[in-house]
Order: sequence, then C-alpha cells, then structure tokens
Amino acid sequence: MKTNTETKVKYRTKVDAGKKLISSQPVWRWPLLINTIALVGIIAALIGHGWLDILSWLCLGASVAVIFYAYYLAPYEK
Amino acid sequence: MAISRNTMKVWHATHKWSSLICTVFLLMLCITGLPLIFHAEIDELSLPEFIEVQSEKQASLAVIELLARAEKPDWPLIFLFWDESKPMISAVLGTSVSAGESDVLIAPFDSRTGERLAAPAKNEGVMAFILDLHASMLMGLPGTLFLGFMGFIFFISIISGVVVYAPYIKRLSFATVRQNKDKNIKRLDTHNMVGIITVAWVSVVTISGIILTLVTPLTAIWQNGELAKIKAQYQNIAPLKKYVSPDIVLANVLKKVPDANIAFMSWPGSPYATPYHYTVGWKGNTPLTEHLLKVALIDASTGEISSMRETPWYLDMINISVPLHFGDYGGLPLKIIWTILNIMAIVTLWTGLLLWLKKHKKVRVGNTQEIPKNALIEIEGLR
Repeated sequence: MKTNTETKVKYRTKVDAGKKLISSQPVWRWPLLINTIALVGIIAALIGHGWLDILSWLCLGASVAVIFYAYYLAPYEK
Repeated sequence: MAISRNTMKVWHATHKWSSLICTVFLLMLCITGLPLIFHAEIDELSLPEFIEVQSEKQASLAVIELLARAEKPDWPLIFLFWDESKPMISAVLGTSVSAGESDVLIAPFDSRTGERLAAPAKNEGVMAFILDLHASMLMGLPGTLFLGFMGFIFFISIISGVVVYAPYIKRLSFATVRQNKDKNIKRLDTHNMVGIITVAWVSVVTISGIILTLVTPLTAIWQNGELAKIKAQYQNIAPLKKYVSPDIVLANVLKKVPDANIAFMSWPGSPYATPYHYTVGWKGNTPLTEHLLKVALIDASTGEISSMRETPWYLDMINISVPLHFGDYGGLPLKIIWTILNIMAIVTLWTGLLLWLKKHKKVRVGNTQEIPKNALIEIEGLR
C-alpha cells in the first residue's frame, strides 16, 4: 500500500506543468449537493402531490440545468 | 481518501469491463424506455372516447364475467383488472387458469355500464411490444432475468465510475468541459460531468429496474409461502361446485375498505388465488399509499373476507419500484425531466463507449506518439 501523499505526488508529476492544480477544492462537495437535491426531487412527488410535485420538478430540473450550463455556457480558459 | 495507485488501477479496470459488458443492453433499455415514460399518454390515443356518465356506478362483475366467457366458452376467467386512470375493467381469459401470456384473451369493458369496449387489449399494440422488448428482449422470463443481471453489472459500473471520478477531478474544477482540439478530452469531460451529476437518478432507475426484473420470482415466493399456507388449510375439503357472485365479493371488500382503489380480482383456482378463495387487490388513494398494493382473500362460498394481511415487504418494494423506474408519478413536467435525464444517461453511455473505441483504435494503429501528452494522461483512466 502506498500512502496517500505518494499517490498525490505521482498524479501531480504527470500533470502538465502549465495547468493550475485545484487540489484544495473538495472533490465531492458539488456532486454531493446536486445529487442530494436530485434525491429530494425523486422522493418529493412520491410522498405527496401539489407543491411536492413542483418541488420535485425544481430539484430534478436543477440537475438538467447544471449540465446545460456546464456544457454550453460555462466559461473555459485554455 | 487513501486509495493506492494499484487499487485505483483495479477500479479503472472494473469500470472498463463492467461498462463494456452492459453498455449495449443499457443503450437498448434507455432507447426503448423513452416512449415507456409516456405510456399513459400513448395508450390513451388508442382508447375509445369515454362517454361522461354522471354517476360513478359500478357495472355488475357477474355480467362482465358472463359476457367475457361468452367470447371463449371453453376458457376459464382468470382475473379482472381495473384501469388506473380510465373507467375500464379488463377480463383475462385463458386456455387454462395458469395459462401463459401468449394463451390469454384480454377483453376490456366499461366499468360503469359493463359494455364491451372496442379498445385494443393491453397485451397488443406497439406499446406492449416496446414494453416486452424493454423488459425481456422478447425472451420471456430468461430475458428478464438476464436484463436484471445486466442492470447489476451496470450498477457496478456506476460505483466504479464514481470511484475513478475522484483522481480525475482533482486536476480540474467541478463540471469543467474543456473545449479542446482533441475531441477525446471534451468527450471525457462530458462523460464525467454528466455521469457524476446524474448518478443519483441513474442509480434509482437502475435499482428499481433490477427489482422489477424479480417480479416473477418474488411473486412465486408469495404464492409458495403465504398463499400455499392458506391453501393447505383446505386440503380435506371438497372442491366448490359454485362460487359466490363477484359482486358480493367486491361489495364486502368495499364495506371493509371504503376508499380502496380496486386493482384486480383473481378468480378461485387461478394462480393468485386458492381453489376456495377469490383474491382482491387494491391500492390506497393517498399519495403515500397510491402505489402500494393490499390484498385480501375472500371465501368463495360465503363472500366473506377470510384473510387480509399486511403485504410482504418484497411486494411493497416491487410496487414502489414501478413509479421510480418509469417516472410517471409527478405529472407531465416530471415525465419530461425524466426523458431528459434518460437522454443524459444515453450521452454518458455513448461518450463512454466512444472513449474506449477511440483509445483502442489509437493503440492498435500504434500512433500513440501523435496524441498530445495531456490527452494520454486523461485517457489513462480508461486503461
């Protein structure tokens, strides 16, 4: 077993020198947030109707919106 | 997270191989699943216009039984089932009470007037064909169980995909899609971005789909367990010559459970009943209970309810999996979002497949030198 630091170093050495490392960013923060919201959306319409239906559309629609934004709108600097 | 480089290699291999095994089947499931999200709307196109009847009158089930049996005099009636949204009851007759799907006649009736409807039966038409394709590849139970296994392999692919996402994203900010000249870079970013955002939804649809492939075995557990136990109590009793009217059965169930949303009534001797009982199944009418099925056995000689137990957990699990798989439980907007997410799953599958194909091709022709160094590192995850 190699230690975590060793793994990190290996990965780092393979990355282009010019590319900025964003290793300090928590990897799971956004995926966890988006997927938790999606799960709330999936469950909402199951346990009730009316406003809970609307909540489910908003929560699951958010995932679609993020994908759309990331693919078409997000600025990308080379 | 301390995952060693070697362990990560194993995860990469797991992701690659599990995906390769199931991708073709998953693409088929996603594509045939698209129209199934709108099955209610599409089914409606082929239904007759229902005349508005003021009263919520219930047609006589005995009359429906007579009319249905007149169509196939030698065939026994197996069960009746109620349509969820339309005032319609369909009678299912078979060459025998345990006839398979190909040996049955499904006759729809107006549930208020008892009039025979000219609607196409539920087991005919384009949608029934697509459902059959989706659920079993037209190969019956073996096909269904095989697809369930593919769903399981896909779930392994999802989990390993999440694991290998971590080292990938360490070098990038969340949801970056690099507009690189090398199409594989953009493809990899798209695959990872769409995959990680939709992972919860894809997992829910996958798990509920796997559960639905187990309907037949799980129902068999119920038949051989609870139902067989009740049947055993009647071992020494002579078979019934005459059954009580189904109308009395229905009335007794509705007396006991006034808000029952009747789903089906199985005739004595059929696989879901006993030779001495009718079985009636119904759903509740609140959001929490509308997907869950309750079942009672009704004595076929007296019409009295003889057993009304809690539905076993595994049957509840099946019933809750239906809406979670098809997304038909939150109105039209939810169906549209379900459709988009389904297309997103196709995008993830397709980009994943292309990434593998392109890498494979490049290695095969031996021109790895020409790939930018950056690309090699990115695609390394696919090795």
